[in-house]
Amino acid sequence: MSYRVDVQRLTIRARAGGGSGDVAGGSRDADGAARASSALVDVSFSVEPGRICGLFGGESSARSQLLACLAAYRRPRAGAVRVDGEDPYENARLMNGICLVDGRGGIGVDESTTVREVLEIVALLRPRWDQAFAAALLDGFEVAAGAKVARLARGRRAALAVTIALASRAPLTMIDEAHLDLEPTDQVTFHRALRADQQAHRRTVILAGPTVGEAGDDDIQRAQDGGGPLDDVVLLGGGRLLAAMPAVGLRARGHVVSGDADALAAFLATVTGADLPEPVTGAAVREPATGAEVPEAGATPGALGDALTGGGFAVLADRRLGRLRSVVLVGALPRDAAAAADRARITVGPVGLRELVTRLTDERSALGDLAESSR
Amino acid sequence: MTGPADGAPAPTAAMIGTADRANGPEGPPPLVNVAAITTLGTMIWVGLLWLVVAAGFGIVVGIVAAVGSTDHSLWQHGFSGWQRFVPFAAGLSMTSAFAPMLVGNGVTRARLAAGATVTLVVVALAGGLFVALGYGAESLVFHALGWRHELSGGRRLAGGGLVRVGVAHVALFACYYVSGWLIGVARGVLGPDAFAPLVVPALIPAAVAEILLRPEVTGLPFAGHLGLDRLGGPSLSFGLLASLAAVAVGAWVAHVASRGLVLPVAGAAR
Repeated sequence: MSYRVDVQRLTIRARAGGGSGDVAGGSRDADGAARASSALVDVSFSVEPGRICGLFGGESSARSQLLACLAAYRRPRAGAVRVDGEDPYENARLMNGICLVDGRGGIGVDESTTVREVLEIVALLRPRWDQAFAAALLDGFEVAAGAKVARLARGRRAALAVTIALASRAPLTMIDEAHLDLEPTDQVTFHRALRADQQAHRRTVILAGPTVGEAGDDDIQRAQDGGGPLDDVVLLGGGRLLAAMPAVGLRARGHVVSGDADALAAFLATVTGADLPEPVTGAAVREPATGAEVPEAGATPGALGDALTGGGFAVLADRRLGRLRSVVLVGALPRDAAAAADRARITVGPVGLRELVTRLTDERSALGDLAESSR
Repeated sequence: MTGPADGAPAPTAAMIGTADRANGPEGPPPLVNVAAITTLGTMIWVGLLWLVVAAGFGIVVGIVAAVGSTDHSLWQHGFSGWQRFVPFAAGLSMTSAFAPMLVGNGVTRARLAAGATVTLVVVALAGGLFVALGYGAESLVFHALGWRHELSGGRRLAGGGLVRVGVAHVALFACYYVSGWLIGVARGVLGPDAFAPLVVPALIPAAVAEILLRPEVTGLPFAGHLGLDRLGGPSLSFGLLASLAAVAVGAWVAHVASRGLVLPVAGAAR
């Protein structure tokens, strides 16, 4: 059983002093003004039932607030969220089938509670709870059932959280960063357990965080050629939705181009339709259709979105070492790019999903300082 | 997954149809489960506190018996009067302690409020019984020691006195619980910076009980020393009815207001 998720024109207002905060309506008639006071503006996307979706964004991206709306922790004041076609807030049919956990070890548990007591409470509340599965997961994560939550290390606490998420078998399961707090070996265990359980108990899963987990990225390259366990990816940055697309599609748009600096510049000018400047302090974004460079030094969310889903290009990183230059580029290269690269003795390779997501959701993008430059 | 187009299409029946609704239970967990969590979670500390109170009372009686004697109720003046603040604290902590746990695990706010109501009844009944048993035990001990067992003003509990005390305290404790619950809900809905103005109206149920229940039965600590228990008042029956009405209205308001509870979000201000 799995739920479809729809986020429709959601706006989340930033709290004073930075960071993301209240879910509130803002003035959307003046888009710029709204963006200045909002952590997210007018965001819309959908997740199909039964998919595993990565929701990525920095700390100020209002990612957790978005999840809170989906989990009925709060009601959005601007825009709407729909789970299985209905508003989840105070929805007696849906709420029991929605599970959101973070690294605190299951939402709302008292610090003096033992792991066993936490599971007993959750078992009372989750009708699809699988105690044997939970016990096996905790065993795999080496979390003692008698341990108090307050005494669990961060990784163990995260293990408890993901155990609750997986064993609840909620039709909409959302994990906010907890899977990233796991020890590296536990991340592998988690992703394998998730994939295996997903086969038997199909549900919609949203894995949220600032980046893709290490184990997830490596694991999927073995399992299904890049994308981690993720089917889809939603990227938030600069108060906007950067992209919502299949993980494989995102990965196909990431390239690392390396070689002699002059040859690389010529190659990029050929494939992107514009000159690439010397290593820059801000990202250079190209519009191949016109060859005109976007004036901002930083890769704006709009330009990044165009590079991710349209015909544009964006440089995410630009490094130089002597005559060698390496550029991380996002965009759809033309079909003859490989041949052109061979002729120019330029190496064009894929970018790992983890690196790609990390760079795309880097919060410096909002400050126009996305591109990395080093000599 | 559909893309980032502005204004994602509203889900169609065909889209929603991909979810298998027939496979697995839906709906909130049973009230008995929710009420068990709220009630046991509350009675664990309340019961422990009452055990400590009972032990302390026993120690005080023992000391008094060892050094002399008394004809005045120790239970009334030192132990039962402030018990009203126990259900007040229980109501106050209901939202902060249980909303994240329960709503975070798929319980609707309406069901949480229903569970809190069950807890209200249990705490009030148990509290009334505890106070009445305290007077009863004290009476037996005093009688065994040959002491008179007098309340403030020289009154004595006789016949149905214990029952009257117990019932009055049930109403008193229910009122205090509701007042605490309302304050907790106000804080949960409005946040720590904005709920303060609602504290006064939230205390109305407790005020109703204090004013309308006969003070010689449920008097505040040291009420006898202050002469408050000699003030006239309505009959106990009227006080009980008024208190129960205040509880009913307060609980209804708490139910309605609970629908607006906002849960803390990871990475955000709690």
